[in-house]
Amino acid sequence: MRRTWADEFSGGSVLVVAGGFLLAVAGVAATASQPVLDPQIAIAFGALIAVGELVRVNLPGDRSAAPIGAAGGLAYALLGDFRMPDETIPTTYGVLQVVAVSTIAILVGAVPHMAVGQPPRLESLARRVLIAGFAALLFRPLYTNGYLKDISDGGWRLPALMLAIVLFCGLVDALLAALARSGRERSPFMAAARDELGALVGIGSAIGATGVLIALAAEVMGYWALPLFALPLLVAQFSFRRYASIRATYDQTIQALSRVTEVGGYTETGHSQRVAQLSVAVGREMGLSEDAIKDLKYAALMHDIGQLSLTDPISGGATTLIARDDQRRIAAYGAEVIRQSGMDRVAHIVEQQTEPFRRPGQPFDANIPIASRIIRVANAYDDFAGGSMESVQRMYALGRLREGMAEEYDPLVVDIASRVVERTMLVDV
Amino acid sequence: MQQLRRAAKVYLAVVTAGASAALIAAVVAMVDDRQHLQVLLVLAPMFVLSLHLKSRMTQQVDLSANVPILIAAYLIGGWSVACLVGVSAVVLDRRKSISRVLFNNAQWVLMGLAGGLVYDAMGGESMQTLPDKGFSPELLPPIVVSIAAVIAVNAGLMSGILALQEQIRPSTIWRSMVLSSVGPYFAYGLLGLLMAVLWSIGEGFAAALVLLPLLVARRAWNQYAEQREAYESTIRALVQAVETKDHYTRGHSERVSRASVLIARILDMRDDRVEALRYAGVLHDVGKLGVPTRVLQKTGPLSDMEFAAIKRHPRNGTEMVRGIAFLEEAYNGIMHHHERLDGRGYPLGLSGNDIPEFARIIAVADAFDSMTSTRSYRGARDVSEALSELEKCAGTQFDATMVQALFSALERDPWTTVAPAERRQLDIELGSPTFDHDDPTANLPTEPDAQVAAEAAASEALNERTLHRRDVLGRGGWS
Repeated sequence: MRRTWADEFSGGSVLVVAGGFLLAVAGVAATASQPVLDPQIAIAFGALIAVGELVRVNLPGDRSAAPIGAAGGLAYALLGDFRMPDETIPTTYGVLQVVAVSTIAILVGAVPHMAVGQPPRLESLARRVLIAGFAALLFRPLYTNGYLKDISDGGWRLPALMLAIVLFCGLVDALLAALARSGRERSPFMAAARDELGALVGIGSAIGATGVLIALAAEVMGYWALPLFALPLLVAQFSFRRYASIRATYDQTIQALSRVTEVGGYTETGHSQRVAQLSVAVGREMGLSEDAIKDLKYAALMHDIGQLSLTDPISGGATTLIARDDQRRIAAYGAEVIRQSGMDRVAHIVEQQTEPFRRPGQPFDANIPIASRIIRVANAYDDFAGGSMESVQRMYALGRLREGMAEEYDPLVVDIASRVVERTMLVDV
Repeated sequence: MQQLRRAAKVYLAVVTAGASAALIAAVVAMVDDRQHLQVLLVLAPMFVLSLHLKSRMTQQVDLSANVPILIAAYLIGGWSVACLVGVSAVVLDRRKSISRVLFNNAQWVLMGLAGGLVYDAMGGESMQTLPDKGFSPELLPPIVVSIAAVIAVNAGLMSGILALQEQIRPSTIWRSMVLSSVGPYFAYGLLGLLMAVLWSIGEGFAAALVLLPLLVARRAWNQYAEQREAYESTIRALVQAVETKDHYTRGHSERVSRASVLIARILDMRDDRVEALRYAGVLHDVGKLGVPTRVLQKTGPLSDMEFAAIKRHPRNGTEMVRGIAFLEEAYNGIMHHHERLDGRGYPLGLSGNDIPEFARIIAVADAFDSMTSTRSYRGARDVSEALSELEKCAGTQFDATMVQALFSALERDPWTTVAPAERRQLDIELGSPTFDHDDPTANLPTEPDAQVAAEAAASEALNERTLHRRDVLGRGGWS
């Protein structure tokens, strides 16, 4: 998955990065101008956050996350009384110190990644600073002004308050992530927000719980609370890493096997890849959900797998140019293969890719999945244009698509596909 | 459900009696000193609930929330509370076999007993005293040793029943269960400690939150397992699609993979390598896609050109799977599975131990399956015939170690040969006049035939078996 600076600074990402940057500068400047309060505690939490940043993971769906760093930031924001070796002391630092400690620790933790050429995604760093600052803003004034004295001696009220703050922060974080994603992938904000909120439920709840628990337990365990409570989250993170890695392997396998028709001489080199890229770009712009995009991508990569059953390859592998009945038989065979692998939705998409958008004199056929309509258009475009970057060839292909809009191709899909092609930058899949 | 063996019955009786004695002692202790009754009343329902939730999920890998609760029980209330918490799950135990109900619940009781007694013996104090004393590393040694005791009891009891009833070798149990469970159990122990800490400061409410990362991790594991399954069936289906080019090789890749794994197990290969070998076996012939169908299906002798085309398939296959992140060894297995020990194979003509281990294994498995399945020019040979043929070629074509390993493997798990495949119509010719315009699936296979089904069943059985061995301890129970 290649990222470019253009992706990094598109639309919503700029807002998030700029907001995080301004807050970070304000925090560091304000903290530098006066002595750091509770310096040992600041160093301990800073270390936790830096380590968390160091062991950050890529979660499924191209999400970069530092669960332990995020939990450390939340815990530092929500910290009340702290057990020193011989006494329990109240903490005195304020919101801006939380921001400053988080910022510096995150930057320190990011240095090794940059050294090995894996710079962090700025937007996700900015979000972590913003969220730590936000949690501190909600909690620290209440605590330092003594409003929490009544509820802080055991019982459910203090944990409940902390959980509420953490939950709220989680929602804000998801919305910020959606803002950045919708800019990066050119998808509608609402679709991105839905995906991000869905992703929050899993690891997000573990991050929030760990932040709250570290803050609570520090009252009796002191520094020990930090590593000990962070460990379970590390285990959870490990499971997610395993999941993400099998997802990636699965992806690679489907990409590799989408090339079997090319190696077998049935289709042109790169055809499936290009169809998948165009399909995914169109699907994102249409606001399909993350899961639907995944199905779309797999279906697009394997849309020609049915050609393996042909005794003689079709010229150039271009299914757009053969009779519809033959197209259907190839698609049906491909769907059969895919169905045996248990991907029923993907199989259905592949099966339906040959169907025209509507029949003469009839309204449009809602039974054909949107993904099939997208693949039909992307496949036709690639059959007409090939991998050509020449604008003449591309314009010719788009022209052919527009001619077919009366019944062959969904006009909305053709429209969006034209826009994507004209932008000429295809997204990576 | 098979019958319990005699030795296993005696074993079960001893274990159950031990647990019953521990329970009676625990009840007596509880009646004498009721200060920990509250701990029992909170933790026992949590224990029951988490075990109940668990049994409703189907999964291969399970991160149990029960062990942390059991450990928290003795850290706060001592061995008697842990024994009683351990037996509490019997109320909702829905396992059908009475012997399994008895064994698993007895095991929980004895684990709680062992942990609690060792913790006391090491001078561990109830966590209730923590707020006054504060947390210090001196608390850790008793906890660590007590967790080791819990592991020892669990592993000892499990290997007893598995060795007596299911005849699994102790070395296999030791490697796949005990070693792999040490990490998770110390993580569980940590969670138990954290629950006890929060309990001690009056945050019993928050103690439940400790289990949240565990539940989240468990969900990720389930997703992982599902995804892995999907991954495997995808590879299987796509390989089957590849095999349609050559009707007589259907199921071949899957069987080669199976035989390779059998050999690897005899060689005591590490689990992750076995895994990579399994994929290499399935994908070893994927490069045949680049060979013209005409050549693959030809029954007469091949011309030099045609043979050259066939000889390209290991290289093609390796090229195709390059993008998939396997172990490097898997690529080597695919690349070199047609090398011969005497150096007269292809593509590179490597000889002896220069041929990667994976390739030497796959070569034997490949030849074995070719001989025992039907070919266009002959029927299937039987297993003993094929084995003696392999023995003849050991040393020149095949590695004798691998042939010997296959021998031993087949002595243990007899090879199931299945009826030869019927040729089915798969070729589509464009513009074929027999095509029915209303039925897009005419002439296309819609149901897997008997052989495919048998293959699937056999490979599933194998998978289940290995998973069972590996994860039985992670489940904390005999199921």
